Amino acid sequence: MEESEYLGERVYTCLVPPGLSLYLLPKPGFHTAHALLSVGYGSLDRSFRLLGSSPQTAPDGVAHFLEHRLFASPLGDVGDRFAALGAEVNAHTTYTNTSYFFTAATRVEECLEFLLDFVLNPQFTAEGVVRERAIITRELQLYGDSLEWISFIRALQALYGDHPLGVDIAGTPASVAAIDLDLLQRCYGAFYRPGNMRLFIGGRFEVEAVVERVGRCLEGCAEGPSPLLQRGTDGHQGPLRLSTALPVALPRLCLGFGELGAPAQGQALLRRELCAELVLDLLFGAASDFYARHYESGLIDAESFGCEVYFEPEFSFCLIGGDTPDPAGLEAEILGELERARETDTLEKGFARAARRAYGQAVQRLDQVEGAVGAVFGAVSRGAEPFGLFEAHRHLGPPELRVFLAAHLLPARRGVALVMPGAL
Amino acid sequence: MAGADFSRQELGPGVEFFVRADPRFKTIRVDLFLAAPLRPRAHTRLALIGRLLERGTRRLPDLRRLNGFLDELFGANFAVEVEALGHHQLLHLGLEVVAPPYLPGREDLLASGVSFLGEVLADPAAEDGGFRRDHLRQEKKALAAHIHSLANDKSAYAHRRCLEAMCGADPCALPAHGDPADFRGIDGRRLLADHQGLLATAPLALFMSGQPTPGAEALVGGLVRWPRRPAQVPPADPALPPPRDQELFEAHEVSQGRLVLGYRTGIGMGDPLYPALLLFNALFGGDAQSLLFRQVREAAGLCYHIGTHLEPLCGLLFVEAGIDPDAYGAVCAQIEAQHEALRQGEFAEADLSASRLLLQRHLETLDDSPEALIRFCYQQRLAGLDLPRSQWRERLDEVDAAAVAMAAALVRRDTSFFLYPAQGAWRP
Repeated sequence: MEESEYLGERVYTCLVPPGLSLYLLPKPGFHTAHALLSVGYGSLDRSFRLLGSSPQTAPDGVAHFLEHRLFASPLGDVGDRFAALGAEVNAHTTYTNTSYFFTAATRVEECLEFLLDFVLNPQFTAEGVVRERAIITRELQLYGDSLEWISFIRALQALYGDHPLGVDIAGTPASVAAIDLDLLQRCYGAFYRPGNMRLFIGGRFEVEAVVERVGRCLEGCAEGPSPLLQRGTDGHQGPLRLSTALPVALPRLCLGFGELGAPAQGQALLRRELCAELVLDLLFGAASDFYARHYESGLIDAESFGCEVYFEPEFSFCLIGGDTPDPAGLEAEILGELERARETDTLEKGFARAARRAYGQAVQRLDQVEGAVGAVFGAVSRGAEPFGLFEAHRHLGPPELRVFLAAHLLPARRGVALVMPGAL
Repeated sequence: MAGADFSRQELGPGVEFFVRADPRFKTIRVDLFLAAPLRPRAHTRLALIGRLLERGTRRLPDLRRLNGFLDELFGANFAVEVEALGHHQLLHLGLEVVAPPYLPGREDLLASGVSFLGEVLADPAAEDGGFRRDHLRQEKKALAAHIHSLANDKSAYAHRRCLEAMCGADPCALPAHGDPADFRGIDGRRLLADHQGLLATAPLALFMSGQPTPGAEALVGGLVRWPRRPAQVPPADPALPPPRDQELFEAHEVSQGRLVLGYRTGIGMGDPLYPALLLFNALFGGDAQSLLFRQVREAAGLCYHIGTHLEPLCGLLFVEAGIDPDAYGAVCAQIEAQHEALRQGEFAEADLSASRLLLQRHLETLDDSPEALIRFCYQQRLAGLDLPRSQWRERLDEVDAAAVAMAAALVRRDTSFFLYPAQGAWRP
């Protein structure tokens, strides 16, 4: 078992046969345990090939559909089984992963056993698939009213067109209607194998007992060939400008800057992500001139204006935006600020302040069991060491931010999503 | 005192200081609550005061300097929130800083943080005996826009409309964010005078929790330096008018209908039946194992989302669901059927045990979140209670199926509010 340590937090790592990576973050004195089982299967993986077979392309939304269906375990409703142990279970699907997680205060090892059991031993039925289609279609409808989600999805669509990054993670009503039993079973078989999974557990548990229990759960579990993924190659177009009408009070602007391909891996990727966060904080954060000026003029508001960054080995994107009475004016101001930053010493002058802020907030995150698990997951799922997010802070200075800004956040490469007040 | 969760001291008239040292945490939190009665027009003034306090102090008079200062404190989390809880409107200031052992050079941020909180409260950015006019003008505009944008969240909008229809003129229907219709005539002087009155007279609760550091208690305890004259906030009162059983509809630009059912419980936090009401809520729709979730979403497939929540200080309970308009009748009938099943005690003992376990687990896990524990403790104080979590656990243990059925019988539907898609064919 390997051990990493940072600020008194410890992570033990081991490989459980036939290939599951296990990460243990005991937090002595805490009352809860939080476990997360992550499968390397997300909405990006619509095209894949198994060794010895021809390439396959699935409709959008299969990973998310599987996540839903796994909760109908042959041994009864998964939620009920966890509730009977005093635990809560949930799951979510992203572009690159499907994660199943629970929080428990007692009987953690039994909960872990259930978790592995329902993810590794599902039973799909044709009737269940029909029922799930209806539920997911309603979920898509519900999100169709959400300004946050629509603005986010449209920005990604503006950046990535019909690449899977430009499609809702849950798919579309048409793609969901095309998902059937056979497809679910095939995709499950391709991706749900221990070698394509990572299990994280943090908080209150016994390290030895958990390792032993997980090992027993995986006994007899076969490891097949991993699917060969073709992430990030098909159907990219953009960037574009997209406008959508929703019954909202004010227009919402979302400017996206994105890339495909393999910008970096592991520690280099985390470092680049931190550069992006620091640059955006320096230019548009709450302590920036931009923020003060445009908050006072009423061009932006405190509740909705902000920046987000996403960095994965296959893609990266940064989003900037919020509600505004004048979306064209805000777009011009954001682009102007990016231009100015290339010519002035904003990054150099504010670097120490922004770096202190980012470091302090990373430390604060370790105080919550879920936050600590999330930090380690965020590092290792992208190929870095468990405390890689902290390592990224070392020896980082304004020159790295300069290099980042020279190559990224380029006005000519932006995608623009605008949500305008209007009827649906 | 609130059990062993916090040690409590009286620091002065109407000032309570709660301390919990907990070496598991790498941070130190300071939270300060001032409680005012929720009243029309005054609620708008307090909403503006909360926003103005975040705009600057005499020493840090603008956003850039104020937020820059917090960044220098290693990204200290600072927020001023104005919240409504029962019949109270709260001004809540929170600050969280990383403790010295976890910072380069073991830098100590607490003294700077505490003196900053003192400045925000007692020395805000001001001119001519009032809050700054430019700040007030901007905040009136920003608050109005924020209130306008709240309708973007259709579920929250439907909930608010249901609450207003239920409570009418009762103050517990007043939103913490106020009403832009009250803006006229509000000037910076009036607001500063209101703020100073609040500092001097409102019941004040000060909490400190997290990593223990030498001298921290004295430092935080010294935060309240202004003169105090205590005034009593009236206790929460769940006695609202009798339920009406009204059914309301509103057409709106939504792609999915939003159903909100409002119930009166008549059971306050201090009521002996309150633990049974907590279990009723958990069984009815409190989580993904509840009857509503399992029967309405999973078995009947009538919605994607359905759940319930309690407003304990007002004695209200709400069911909320996102549904297809064509399912309106079926969903309402299912909700009533599940309520009736609970009234008749028709639920599995195993479900009761599972719900009890979940609630007890929630109590235990409050330990892992200083902020959640503070809120739990403070909400009880507002309800005039002082029970440690161990007693809540015992009270939950004592609840049997008959008590849940008794609570279920007291929960009575008042208002059904349905926000349906204007563009569809469905009509009430």
